[in-house]
Order: sequence, then C-alpha cells, then structure tokens
Amino acid sequence: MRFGNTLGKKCLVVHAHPLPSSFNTALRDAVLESLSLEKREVISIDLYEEGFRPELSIEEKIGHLNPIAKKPLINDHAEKLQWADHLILVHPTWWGGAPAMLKGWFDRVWVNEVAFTLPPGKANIKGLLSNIRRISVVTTHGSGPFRNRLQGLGSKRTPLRGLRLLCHKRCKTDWLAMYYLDRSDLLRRDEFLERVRKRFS
Amino acid sequence: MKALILYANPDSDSYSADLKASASKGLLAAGHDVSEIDLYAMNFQAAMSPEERLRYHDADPIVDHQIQEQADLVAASQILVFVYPTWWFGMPAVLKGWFDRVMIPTVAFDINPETKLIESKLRHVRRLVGITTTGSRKWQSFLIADTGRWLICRAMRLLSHPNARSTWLHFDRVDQRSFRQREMFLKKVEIKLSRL
Repeated sequence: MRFGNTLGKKCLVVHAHPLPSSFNTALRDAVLESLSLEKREVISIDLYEEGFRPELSIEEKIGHLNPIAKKPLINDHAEKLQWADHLILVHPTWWGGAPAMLKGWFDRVWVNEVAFTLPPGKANIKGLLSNIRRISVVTTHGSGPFRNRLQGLGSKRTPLRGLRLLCHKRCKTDWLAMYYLDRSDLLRRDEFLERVRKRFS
Repeated sequence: MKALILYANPDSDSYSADLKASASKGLLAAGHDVSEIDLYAMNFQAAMSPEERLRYHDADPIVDHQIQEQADLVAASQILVFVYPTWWFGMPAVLKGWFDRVMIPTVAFDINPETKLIESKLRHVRRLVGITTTGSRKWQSFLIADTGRWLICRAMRLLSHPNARSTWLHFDRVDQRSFRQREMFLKKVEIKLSRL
C-alpha cells in the first residue's frame, strides 16, 4: 500500500507561485481541498500572497546563532513549522530547484534554534524538527526529467534529502512531479490534478 | 575576455567577500576585463513578480531596466563567475532569484514555438566558474544535493559555447578551517582564475 493513508493530522502547506490564476495554484487548492475532506488541521502559507521577503538580511546573517526569541520576523513561520507533522511544498521548478521565494523561506526560516542546533565543540548539526514525519513535494517542470537531472534535481533532493535530515528519524517522503508542462494539454493537467487529489485524500 | 562576477552574500566582512576579491585579482592578472554584480548591495529582489511571470513567454519579457542591465552584462561576457556561500545545499535565494529573473527566454535561451525545444542564447560564454563555501563536507554535498554545482557546471555549461569549460572551487567545512587553510584557498582561487 504505497499510497496508504499515512497523511499527517497537522498539515502545513507552503506554496510559492506569483500568479493566483496559475496551474500551480490550482494544484495547491486541490491539495487543500483534499486534505479538508477528513478531520485534520491544515495551515496554508502562500509566500507570494503574504509578501514574504526571501532575501536573508545582514542582521539575520550576523545574528544567525541567536535564540529564536531574538528573531521576531520569522517567529510566526517558525511556530507553524514546529507545530506540523506533515510538510507539503507546492511550487513550480525553475532552473532545477524551488523558486527563489521558497529557497528564501528555507534560508530564513529553517535556521539555528528553529530547525537545528549546533552543539558547541562539535561539527555535528542536531535537528529540532522531529515533529515532522512526512514531507511531500508537488511540483511542475516546464521541460522533461532529463533536463531536470542535469540541473541537479534540486527541487527533489533539497527538501527530501537535505531538509529531511532535521526532521523525524523515519520521516517519509513523497514526490509528485509533472514534466513537460510547457507542452501539456488540458487532459494531462487534469490527470495530474486528479493524481494529486487522490494522494492527499 | 570580458568577465562577469556574480556575488551574493549580505555580509561584506565575510570570507565570500575575500573569495570575490581573489577571483577578481586573478582575472585581472590574466588581463581580463572584470565587471562585478553584488546582488545584495544593489538590493536585487529575488522573487519573480507576477508581471514578470505573465510576460515570461512573450517576445519581450523584460519588465524593468535593472534586469535589462544585467542581461546586457551577461550578453557581453565570455566568463561567468559565481561566488556565494552554500545555504541549504544551494545558492542563496537572491542568486537563485537572479537565475529565475535574468536567465529568461530571449536572454539565456529561446523556446522554439513549434518544437518547444530550448535554443541557447549563451553560446558566447567560454568559461564558467563556481566558487562556494559549505559548512558540510564534500561527500555530504555529493550525496544530498549539490544544486549550485549542477546548475553552473552542467545546465549552464550546456547552454554555453560547445568548447566551454567549467571550474568548480568548493571550500568545505568552512567553520572549522584554520586561518592558514583559508589563506591557501584564497591563493588557489586567484591562481585558478588567472589560468582559465
């Protein structure tokens, strides 16, 4: 049962696409709709809508070892991240990876004292997000899997191998990708929407 | 040749700033013409705007003069050098945003309207260089994700001139290195870039 009902009870959906009319936003809406079919808590973050600033500032860079109390700008996001047991990322893949908006969310929110700590005297990083037991990525590519591979599979590997290391030890991962969006027709888009709906219900 | 250095680090006292200075020194020693783009200093906006996304596939997708300036600089350069700290196995958002917003159709490539295949506009680029620092070790980057390297040394390399060469200079475990090791790597960057 690969697609068994192992969705979380507290889902955090993070979406990054500039256009509310895009196919990607439709995917996000499909995810939210499917999740709401059953009794579970869902928090949705639309980075473009809330005007998230993706650039890590000089103050944040210098103060990156500070405790979370001294990071008021990202407190809200950090709390949501520490609350969730299922993280769902919905975004297009541009240049092999997440849009700068979402990369900036990783840079600014997945920081010291939120996602990990660096115990003194050790080179090892210790994850703090053991609450997250599943990470799902829903993404679309304009081109095909071959080009995506050449660009380093960033949208897959960064969250599902990199960020995962800070989550629960047995954190599960999902990867739902649509390729060749640039030459897709309505039928293929509907198929993918249906696949996403099915996965999250 | 004309060289363009793209630099992304908010802190002007950082080791990345020294790396950029070494890269510039090496390029100048070899007689190249060097321009620099400091993305943080110019307050570059990383996120692609809704208007830019709407016009992405149009014949004229460039919406503001800042992007046009960057595109002109890229079009005039034969050497592209990227200097940045690796965060989360990739480029800082501001540099990723530079790819999203500047490396667009008409600048980096064209999408053929019939075949939908990509046709490069970067065939004038002869050398690509990535210079980065990571907190983790090299094998960790290799196993987990090394998106900056793939983007520069594979994806961009394939859009460049058929004989283009890419150079990857990676300084790992940066937090644990001694002053001497850092100095040595700066020297290595300078020498490598003077012999591109």
